[in-house]
Parts: sequence; structure tokens; C-alpha cells
Amino acid sequence: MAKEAVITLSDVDVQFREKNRSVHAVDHVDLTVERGDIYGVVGYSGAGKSTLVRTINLLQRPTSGAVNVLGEDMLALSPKQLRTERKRIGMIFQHFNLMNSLTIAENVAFPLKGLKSKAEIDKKVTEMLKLVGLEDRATAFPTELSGGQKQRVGIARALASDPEILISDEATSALDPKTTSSILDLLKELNETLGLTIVLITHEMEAVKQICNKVAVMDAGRIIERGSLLDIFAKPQEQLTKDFIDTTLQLDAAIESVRKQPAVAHLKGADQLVRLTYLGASTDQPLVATLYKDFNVTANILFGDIQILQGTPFGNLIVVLSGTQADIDRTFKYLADNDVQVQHITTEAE
Amino acid sequence: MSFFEHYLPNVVPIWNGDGGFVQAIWQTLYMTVVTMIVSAILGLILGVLLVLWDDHGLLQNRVAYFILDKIVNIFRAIPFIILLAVMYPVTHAIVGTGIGATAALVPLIAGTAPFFARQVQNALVTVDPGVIEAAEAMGISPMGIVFRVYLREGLGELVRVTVLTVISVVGLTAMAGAVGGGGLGNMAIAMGYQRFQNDVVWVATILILVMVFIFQFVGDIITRKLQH
Repeated sequence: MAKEAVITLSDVDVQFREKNRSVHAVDHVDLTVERGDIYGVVGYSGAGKSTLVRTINLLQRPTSGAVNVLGEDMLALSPKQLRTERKRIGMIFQHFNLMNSLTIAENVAFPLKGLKSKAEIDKKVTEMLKLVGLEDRATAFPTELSGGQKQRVGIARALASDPEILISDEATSALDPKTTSSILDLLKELNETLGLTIVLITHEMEAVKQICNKVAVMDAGRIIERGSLLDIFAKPQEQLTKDFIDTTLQLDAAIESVRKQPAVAHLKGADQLVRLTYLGASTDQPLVATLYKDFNVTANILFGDIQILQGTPFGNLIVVLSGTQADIDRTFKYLADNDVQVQHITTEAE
Repeated sequence: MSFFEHYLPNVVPIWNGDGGFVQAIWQTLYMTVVTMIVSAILGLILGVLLVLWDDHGLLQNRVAYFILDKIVNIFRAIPFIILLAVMYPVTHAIVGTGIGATAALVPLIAGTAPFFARQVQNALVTVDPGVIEAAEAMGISPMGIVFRVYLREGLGELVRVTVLTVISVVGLTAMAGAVGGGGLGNMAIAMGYQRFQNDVVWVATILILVMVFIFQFVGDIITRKLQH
């Protein structure tokens, strides 16, 4: 089924002119987000991801390019039309950006004031607070809440005007890992129950891994790699993408300690230290058993990490393969044919 | 009355009546309150415009900001005692006379409104830009953001700078005597200092201090009410 594109950025370019230099924050980027996507945009700070997503609701006007959101050519709208359109695009922020002078309920009611009757607003606010699990804190003030609770209020406020798209600008970056996880779960739930399309920008690959179905990697204002979450994890092309994936595995520390093990320090003959990365279908076969049974190659597992991405296992093993040179060569061919990525690891510390 | 007559020999005879203390208190209050009301309205409008027209403002306008910014600076740079004289033709045109408490209002407002505008600007820039951005993202109009975000979130700071400005106005009214505005400041100088009547100077000073303390006290109460 062809899905409907709800956000289309075409050749979007943003340059900031300062006194004697110009900063190219977003460098001719194309991006298409389809309805129901949770699209992760990952990159280090300064990569331009915040600027890029701000072109979606025109908080940042692009220097050139086209922005189409929910069928509207955003750049052609009058200020008044733009404000109406913005109500269809919710946004949450790293520092929550709640009004400290208003109660939680008043914060959630904020975007609705003057548009609906008081009774309708009260009903909506109650519904929203219930959705994010804060119905008992309606009369509290933001300063009385924890970071995770504040972000829940931010989400309730963003969803009060029934948007079809939610932009999350580093929304979990100021939260601890446990709270981050619960906020991400909430976003995933909203995506599934409300059909909400989410654009999530973050520098944490862990967050992308937890809920996104698509991911784009940004560096120096450009999207250097993009695709479905599984494709990106299975076959990352760019070094930066690989680095981001490795941050979710704690692989560097593992490799260091693997190198110190006797089995690695004294590799014999054709023995090889390799990292095997595999995804989904390839893991249905008992890999290690197959290598031994069909190829006479033993795989000594020194480190293993298997995670579930969107219901699909994603495995990373560091193994020593032992056997004759011919058997090992046949093994590599078999692994390649079965979509298992093989990466050789030097036995000496770099 | 013997106690007052003994310790404040020069104050008692001029307490009541024309040119007396009671009248001076009213003149100071009159000048302070009217100046403050008009300056608050003008200063609030100008201060908000400064914030909106600023480079990071919602209605960025370099030329308009430049002009308003310079006007505010010029008026704040002129010493008030000189402003009284400089404004004389304007005062005469507006009030019909250059002398008296009402005439003093014109230079008082000319000196206070720009000062308050700058204070309002400084108060409003303390409002978290993230909250402004969030309101923009919600599709709130610039006018809505001014009234519902800037003035609301900045209220505590606005009260603080208002008290500061009131106290500064009380100070300025002391110079209004130079154009026959009367008031406690004039009382201290003309009736006290220049006639070597120290008790008059002291009583006028104490009355001014009491006034300042009352304004400060009221401001503190409002500020506390606003905090959560």
C-alpha cells in the first residue's frame, strides 16, 4: 500500500548570515515523512537537525527550497493561514518550554483558549491529562513537577489541538534513561493509537532504536544516510552511522576486553577474530551450529549482544573462528550469502 | 502640641495651609501617581515594541528598533533638571503654563516613560525564549504572545521594575520645585535648606522615605502573590 507523504522537504537550504561569515546550517536536504512514520533524525549537536525540523512548521524559514506539509505549500501561506496550519503540527522541546505562571491544566488549555468553549476546553484538558497519566496533577504548577512529568505536560499541550504530526526536538535529552524510555513508550503508544506521525530528532541512537521505523543521519547540514531502521542497522554505509549504532552496543569496551583474553592473544593458524552482525531472518538459523556442522568451523563466542528492533532480532557477536583456511573461506562466503556482515578485528589494541 | 513645637519649631507653623507640608505631600503624590500611570502605559507600549522589533523579536524591524532605541537613550541621557528647561516650550503648548505641579508632569513623563520602556524591555527579555517559540509553534499570533506569554510570564519582573520606577519618579518630583511644582523635595530645599531650618529638611526626608517604603512594601506583597 502506497503511504501518503505528510511532510515533504524539497531541496531545503538554510543559511545564517552573520557579520563576516555565513553558516550553512541545512545544506540542500530532501526529506519525505509518510503518515504513521516515527522518523528519527539523528546527529551530533550542530549537525543542523533542529534547524531542519524547524523548517517543517516554519519556525525557521528556509533560504531556499520547498516545504509541503499535509498537502499545504507552507511557504505560500499568509501569516494567518500559517498559524492555522501550525495547529496541525504539535511540537515538544528539550526544555519542555511550559509557562511557569500557569497550572498544568492551564498550560494544556493554552493552545485552545479563544478557539473553543470553556466546557469543551475543560473536557479536552481532562482527556489529554489522562492520556499522559497526569490527571491528578491538574492544579499543580510546572515547578512542582519532575522532568519526565513536565515533558508529559508538554506532550499533552502539543496534542490538545489534535495535530496530525508531532515534532520532537530532543524531547528526551534532558531526562534520565528510565524516564526517557517511558516518554518514548508514550510516543510510540500515541503513534499507534492516534495514528500520529512523529519526527523525532535526537543525538541518542538508543532513542531511535527504541521507537523509530525510519532514520536519517545528519552531519554538517546534510543527510548522509537514510532508510528503514532495520536497513540502517543491518547495513550502515557511513562511518558516522556505524558509530551511532555502536553507541547502542557498548562494543568498544567489549572489544577492548576481548583482546585481553587468552583465546585472542594466542590465535592459531587460520583462526580469525571477527565481528558478526546479523538481522532478522538470518538469525532464524542456528548460526553457530551450522558453522560447525556444515563447515567444520568452531565459533568461540567472546561477546554477544542481541536486541529486538521492531520485533526483529539484531545480533552482534564477537567470535574466534577456528578451522582450516579453506573451511574458513567457505564460511565467509556462506555468511555473506546469508546477509551476515563480517568485520575483521585486529587482535592488537589500536 | 508642645512636643512638636519644641522639637520641630519650624515644621509646625507650615504644616497646614498654602505651601504647607500637607499640600506638599499631596503634590508629590499627585505628580508621582499621574506620572506613573501615563508612563506605565507609554512605557509598556514602547517596551513591548522594543522587544518585538529587536533582532530576535517576533516582528523584527531593524529601522524601527534603531529609531526607538535611540529616542529612548536620548531622553534617558538628559539630566532631569535640564529636561525641565528643555521641555518648557512643549509643556507650555500642552498645559498652557510652564509653572506648577501639572506643568511639571510633562517633563516628568518625558523623563520617566523612556526609562520605564527600557525597564519593561529588560523585564520581558527574561521571559524564556523557548516558551515564546512554543507559543509560536502552537499558532498563537504575535499579539496573543504579547498578552498571553510576555506580559504573563514577565509579570513578576514587571512589578519589580515598576516599583523601581516609582521610586525613581519620587526622586524626580523633588526637582519639580524648579518649575514651581511644589512637593516634599521642594519643601526640603526651599523652606528647609535655604532657610537653615534643619527640622523641615528632616521631616520632608522622612516623609519621602515613608512613601518609598510603602510603594516598596506593596510591590513586595504583589511579587509574593505572583510566586508559586
